[in-house]
Amino acid sequence: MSVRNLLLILAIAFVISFMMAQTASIFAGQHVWYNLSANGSDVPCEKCHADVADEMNVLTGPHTGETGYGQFKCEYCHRFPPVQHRNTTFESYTYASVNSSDVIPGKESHAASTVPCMYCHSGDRYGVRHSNCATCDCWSCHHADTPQPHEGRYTNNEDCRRCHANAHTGDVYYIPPAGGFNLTTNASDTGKNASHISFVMSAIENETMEDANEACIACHTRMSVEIWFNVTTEAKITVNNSYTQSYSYWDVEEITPSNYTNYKEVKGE
Amino acid sequence: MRQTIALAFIFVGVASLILFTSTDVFTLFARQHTFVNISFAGNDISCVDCHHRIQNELNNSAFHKNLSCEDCHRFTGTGITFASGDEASATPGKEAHAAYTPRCLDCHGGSGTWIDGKFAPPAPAFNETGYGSDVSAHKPLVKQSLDYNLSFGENEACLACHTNYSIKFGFKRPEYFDFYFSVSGSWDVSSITYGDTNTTPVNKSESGAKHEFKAINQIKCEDCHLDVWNAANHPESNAYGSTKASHVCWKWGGSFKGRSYSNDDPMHNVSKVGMTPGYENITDYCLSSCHKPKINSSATIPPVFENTVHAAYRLSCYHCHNDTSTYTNAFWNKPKNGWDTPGFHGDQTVEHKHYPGIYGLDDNILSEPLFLHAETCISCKRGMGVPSKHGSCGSCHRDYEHPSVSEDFQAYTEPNNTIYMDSTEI
Repeated sequence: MSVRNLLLILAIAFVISFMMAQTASIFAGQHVWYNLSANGSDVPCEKCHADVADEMNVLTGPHTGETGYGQFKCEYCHRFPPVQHRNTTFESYTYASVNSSDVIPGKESHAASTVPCMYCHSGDRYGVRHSNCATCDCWSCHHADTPQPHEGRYTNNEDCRRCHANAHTGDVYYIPPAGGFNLTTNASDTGKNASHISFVMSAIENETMEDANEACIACHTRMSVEIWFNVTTEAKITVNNSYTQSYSYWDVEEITPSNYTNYKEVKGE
Repeated sequence: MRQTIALAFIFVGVASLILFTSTDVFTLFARQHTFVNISFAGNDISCVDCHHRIQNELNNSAFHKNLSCEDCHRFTGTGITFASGDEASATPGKEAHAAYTPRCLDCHGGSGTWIDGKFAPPAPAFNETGYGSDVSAHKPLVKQSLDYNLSFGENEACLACHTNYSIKFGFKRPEYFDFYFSVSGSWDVSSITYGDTNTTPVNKSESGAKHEFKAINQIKCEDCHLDVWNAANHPESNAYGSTKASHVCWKWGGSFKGRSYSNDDPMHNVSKVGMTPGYENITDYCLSSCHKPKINSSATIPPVFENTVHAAYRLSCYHCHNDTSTYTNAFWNKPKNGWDTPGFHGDQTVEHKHYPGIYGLDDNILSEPLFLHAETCISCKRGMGVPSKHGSCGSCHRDYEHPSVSEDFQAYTEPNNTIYMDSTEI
C-alpha cells in the first residue's frame, strides 16, 4: 500500500470519528429494564422462548385452552405455586419475585424451573368441585380457605379459571390426578396392572427430564419419540413327565423368554 | 493460504452476525408443549403411534384384528379403573393408567364376553373353576403358567398354541423302563424300574409374533408334539422288517384261529392320514382317532369322554380298550367312514383287553402311572415282526397262544418306542 493511500484512509477515519455524535452499543436495548413491581411474572418468557410459545398455539388441548378459558401462562407450570393436593415428595420451590411491596430472593430457582408433571397431577381429589360456577367470583369465597389456594398467589378469576374451570360445561373442577401408576396420594391408586409402569419408573430414574416427564410427554404431546423395543419372540418350555408309584403328571419346570429381537418405532414422524 | 484465511474470516463474520441477530432460544425437545386434547369421549391418544408393529401383527391375524386396542387393553370387565375423561368429567386410573395387559381368560373365561358388539367365546374347560377336568391334556400347562412371568396369568399357555409365538419345548421322560414279564400261570408284569431322564427337544418355530393369532385349523398338534407323532408314525421298518410296527398302525385283515379280522380300516391307522376316506391331516388324526374323537351321543361311551376338555383328552389305550363291553358304535371311525366299537385286534366282537387268561398283564399295567399304560401297548406293537415259526405275532405269543418263557423287557419311550427282550431289539 502506498503512503498516499494510507494517509487517505487515516484522514477518512478521522473525519468519521470526528463527525459521530453517538456511541453504538453492541447489544441494543440492554438498558431498557422491565418493571417488576407488578404482581406475577413481568418478564416475557416468549422473548427468548418463542418456539415454545408457537408450540402452545399448535393444538388446543390440556394447558392450551381446550376448556375455553385460554392457554396457561408460563408461570403456572414453570414458577409453579404451592399445590395443596399433591404428593408431597414433590417439593415446592421459592422463585425470585418482586411486587410493589415485597422482594423475595429465589432459593431453589430464580426465574423458572422445569416442572414435574406429577407436581400438579399427583393429588387425590378429582372431578367437579362446583357445578355451574365457572363464572363465579372465585376469590370472594376462597380467600377464606385455610390454607388459601396456592398460598394466595392467584386472586383473580382469570387465573383460577384457566386451570380449574370449563367454559363449555360451566363447571369448576379439581386438577385430575394421573392415577394408575401408584404415584398419586390416592391409596387405591396401585398401578399394579399398568402396562406402561416400567416406562414411567424408568423415566423417573432417567435424568433427561424431571421425574416421569419423559413418559408423560411421550404420550400426551406431539413430541417425536423414537422407541427401541426389545421383545421376546420365543419361549423355552421344559416339561417333565413326573411320576409316582401309581400316578404320572406333566410338570412344567421352566418357561423362559428367549430369542429377543430389537425393533424401532418412531412416533411423530 | 490467502484464500483459506479469507474463508475463515467470512465464516467467523457470518457466525457472529447470526449470533448477534438471534433472539430465540431453541427448546431441547421440540413439540413437548403440544398437548394432545384428551377431552373427547374414549381414548384420544393413539396407541398405534408407538405400536405400529403390533398393528401390523394384528393385520396378519386370524382373530382380534377387528377389535380396537382399547377393546382388549382397556377392557373394563375385570374391574380395573383406567384413567379416563371427557369434557364433563375425569376419572383417575387406579390399577392402570392408559392400558393393561389382559389375561386371555378375562374375555374368554366364564360364559364369554361381548366386546364392542363382538362375542369372545369361552375357552372350554379352561373357563371352569380350577381349569376343568384333569383329563384335559393341557391343563397342567395352563395351570402352571400362573407361576411364570413371561406374560400375565395363564397367557403363556394360550400364546403357545394360539399365536405365532415360537416355543422351544423340552419334553423330559424316563428314557426307558424295564419290566419283568412272567408267564407262569397268568401273565404278570413286575419289577418295573425307570431309566434316566431323557429330554426330547421339539421346536415350534414361528414368526414370533404374539399378536398374530392362528385360525383354529392352523393349530397343529405335531408342531408341539412331534415326538409323539414320530412315535405314532414310524414309516421305517423295525429291526425285523415289519412295516406294521408303528404303535398305532395295525392294519388287520384275514383270519386267525378261526376269527375273522375283516376290518381293514382300524381307527388308528396312521397310513390313512391325508387320504379320503381318512384323516385330513396329522392333527385330525391325533384328535379324531384318539384325543378328541367324534362321539355317538346315543351310545354308551367311556366315562372319560363325559368331561369337557379344551383341545385334547389325556388318555391311554385302556380308556377305550378295556373289559367294558358296552361301547358299541361309540366312536366315528374316519377311515371306515362309520361308527366303530373299540375292540382288541380291531375286530368287532367284544374283546377289549387281552383275553382272560392274561388279564394279569393289563391289571398290572393299570396299577402303574398313566404314561406306562400306553407305553406298554406302544412298545409291544413296535416290536411286532420278530421272525418266528408262528409269524409276526410270535414275538409275544411264542407258544402259539400262551407265552411260556419269562423274560426281561426294556421299552423305550417317545420318540423311539423300541423294545428289547433280554437286550435284543424285537
